Amino acid sequence: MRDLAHFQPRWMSFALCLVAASLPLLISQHPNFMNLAILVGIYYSVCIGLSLIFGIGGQLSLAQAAFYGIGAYTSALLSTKLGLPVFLSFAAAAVASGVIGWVLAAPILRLRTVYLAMATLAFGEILVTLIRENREITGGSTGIINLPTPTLGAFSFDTPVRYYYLVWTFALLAAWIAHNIIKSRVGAGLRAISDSEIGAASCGVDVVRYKTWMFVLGAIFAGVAGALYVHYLSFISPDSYSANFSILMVMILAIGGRTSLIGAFLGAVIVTTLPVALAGYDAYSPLLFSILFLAAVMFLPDGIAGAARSSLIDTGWSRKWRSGKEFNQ
Amino acid sequence: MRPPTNSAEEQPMSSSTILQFLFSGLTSGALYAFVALGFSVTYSSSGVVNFAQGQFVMLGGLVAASLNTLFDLPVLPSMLLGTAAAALTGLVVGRVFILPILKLGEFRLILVTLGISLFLEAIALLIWGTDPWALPSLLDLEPFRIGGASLSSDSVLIIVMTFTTLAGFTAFVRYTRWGRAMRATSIDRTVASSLGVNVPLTIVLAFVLSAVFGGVAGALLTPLIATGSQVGMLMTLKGFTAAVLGGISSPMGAVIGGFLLGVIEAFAGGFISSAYQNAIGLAILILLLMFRPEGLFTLTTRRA
Amino acid sequence: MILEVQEIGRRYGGVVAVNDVSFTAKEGSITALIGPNGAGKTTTLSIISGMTPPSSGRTLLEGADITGLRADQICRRGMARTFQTPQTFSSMSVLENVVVGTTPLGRISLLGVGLRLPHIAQQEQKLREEAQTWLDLVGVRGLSHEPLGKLSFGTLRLVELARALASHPKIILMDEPASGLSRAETQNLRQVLLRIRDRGTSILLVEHNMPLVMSTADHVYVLDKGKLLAGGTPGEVQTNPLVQKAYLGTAG
Repeated sequence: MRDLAHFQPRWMSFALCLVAASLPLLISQHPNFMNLAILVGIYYSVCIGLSLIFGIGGQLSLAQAAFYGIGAYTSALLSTKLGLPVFLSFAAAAVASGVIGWVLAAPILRLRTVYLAMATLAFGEILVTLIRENREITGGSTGIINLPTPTLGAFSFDTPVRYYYLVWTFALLAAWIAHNIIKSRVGAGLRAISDSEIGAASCGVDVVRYKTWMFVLGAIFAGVAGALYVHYLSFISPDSYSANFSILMVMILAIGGRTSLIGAFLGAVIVTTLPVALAGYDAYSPLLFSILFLAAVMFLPDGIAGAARSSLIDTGWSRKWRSGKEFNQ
Repeated sequence: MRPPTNSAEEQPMSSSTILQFLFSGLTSGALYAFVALGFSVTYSSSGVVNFAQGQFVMLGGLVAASLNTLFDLPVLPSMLLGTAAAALTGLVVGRVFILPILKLGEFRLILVTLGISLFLEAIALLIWGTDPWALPSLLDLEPFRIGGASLSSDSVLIIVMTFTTLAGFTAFVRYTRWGRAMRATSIDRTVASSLGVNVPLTIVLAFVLSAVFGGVAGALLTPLIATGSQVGMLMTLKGFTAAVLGGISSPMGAVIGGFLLGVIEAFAGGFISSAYQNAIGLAILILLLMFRPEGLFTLTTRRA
Repeated sequence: MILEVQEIGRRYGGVVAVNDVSFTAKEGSITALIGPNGAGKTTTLSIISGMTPPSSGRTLLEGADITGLRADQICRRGMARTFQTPQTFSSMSVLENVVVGTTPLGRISLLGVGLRLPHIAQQEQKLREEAQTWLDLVGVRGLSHEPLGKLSFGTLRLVELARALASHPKIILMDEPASGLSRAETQNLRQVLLRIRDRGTSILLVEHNMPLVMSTADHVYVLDKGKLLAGGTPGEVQTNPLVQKAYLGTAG
């Protein structure tokens, strides 16, 4: 269905994939750039799920860090303590975060706005405490080192370029799934919920079920992303999973645009490259981020992507696009 | 925030241990009560749950500590200036950020207050760094020995100040024009406005007051535990828990909630494990939100 | 009887909003619920559609008890509704609003949708095409891809109605659909209501606009102060002395 609210012409998606596929050829000589590109892919994956629940569903969940951590630790522990092949550990990470997400969803999603934010924040902090205090299992505050590299048969993802393709394959797969959902009746139902929950319910939308699905899906994406990242670093520690991470993800969507996948991508790029762009001044990056975030939240309700879209909405070109032939999905 | 306690493995259960837990609980409870009071005031008059509430504590403490440390200002003036700094911040926040966004709805408001919290923390990080800053005791008296447990003068001070503030605030709301304006605004903004109340000003006043409460708490706390630039978020969570515990719309409930939370945490930390002390407080929050969001003491369901 | 309301009651503390109200709606007919302000009409509608639980009594849809079911469950059973203030979805286009209305039809599968499984994708396509036909039925042609922001109030109401029709309901509940409409829009509404009825969908209408009610409804019930006062054909109700007293006797 052509709708400007989800303006993502095919050429844009295609171009994005092309760029993603060819980027390593340009930057593989610069290990820092490769690290950044991988990090963008990781953040993007986490934010795809958040975009469904927060951007479209309108629920401010600050639980991503928790699921990012659950996935990461599940995979790290299974691969080091039980010697499970890494890809299997990734699958386990998806299952663990999905199941915990599902259990948490029902009680937590009933909560209104602020209460939901606080509760999910609290959940994340409790998790970090649990990780820190159970040293024998989780390695405590010092973490675990020497996490194994993922392998497929004889092929090992042991170079940044290879890992880049692994991460971005996942990211684009997640994006494709999310995109399909957004464009479908389910996506429309989700948006309906955030516009008018009463209206949505009167149309037969099972509000709790929809919100739960998005929450669980977001949890799974975050969990796998977490697992992917720690096996890249070969190292895991609880510091990365505190509230700050969840807030960073919300920042990505607030700045980039919370209702579209392009917005999530834009935000991820901005947030990862800004500290680098600041070079020697990166002590100022928390300040800069908070200013960007505040400005975005006050003036750009749908981030930069949303602002760009709004300015396009009334142009003759967009009207033509919207009323054009139905493009087959 | 972890008041000094001994965990159960190290000390046998004795009445003095229990009393000691109680004293630490009351001390941290006083802190939580102040933050909760701030939440209650802003929520009642504007419907906003201010994510940045905890940062006022941080500001009060850090400004006071740095004035004393860097400029040798005596403790009392430092504390007063710390509170003033917090108040000024509250004024700016309320006037510049909250008022214009009020009509845009709850969703935007949470994000804005979150942004303000992050901004304040980021600035604090740049100015004061990550290290804690300390203040000497205000009264500089010997700690009181009661039943084998010790209670420092700073603890007594913060506990007493909580009740004084509550009493003062209640009197303010009941007997002064501005206080009554705030009360009217908290019941119904449109009606208050039609009765001639300057609602925007009242809301800004609410933010200033909540900042004062936070700042006072931060200043009084710093002699007990050095403040750092990163404490804001945890203070927000704890204060919010306390407010939910006691019922966010009632100042008295907020204070009771604060002390209750502090004491529960102290005992849980003492008997179970001090490492889990914070986690227990947070778990209380989650359980409360799931099962009794209106708090333990709210008799009527107030208009949200 | 497509709808049976049996001794529905609702109290709020000491206030009785609806008191022992019973009536029925015949299949394929337009039934109207009228009454002076504060008579409890909207509360009754709210109870029937599952948005407010009754303090007593029950509602039967095609003989099955739907009391206490959630609004979305009731919709899936075949009862749709519109609201006095249209609860349309402002972030979506007109067509998308109607597509949400198709939710109870076919299967909703997250997996099917996410992975674009062929039979699910086909279903989606069909339902989108069908959504367009509902817009044509209510007379909102050519606006399918417009965002809602610029549409008139009357058009919003029609969009909401098309959305309600999209779930193939057996009965549609409408809460004051004519309020805020111009003379021309009300005429159009009348035509639409008759069209809907003639296709076999029943309508339960809460309405203040007497000419509309009297010229459109097959059966009318009158509520006053929470109680059912009278019921009958429009003619019977109009000449009923109790009804006249209730309307004329109400101050303001």
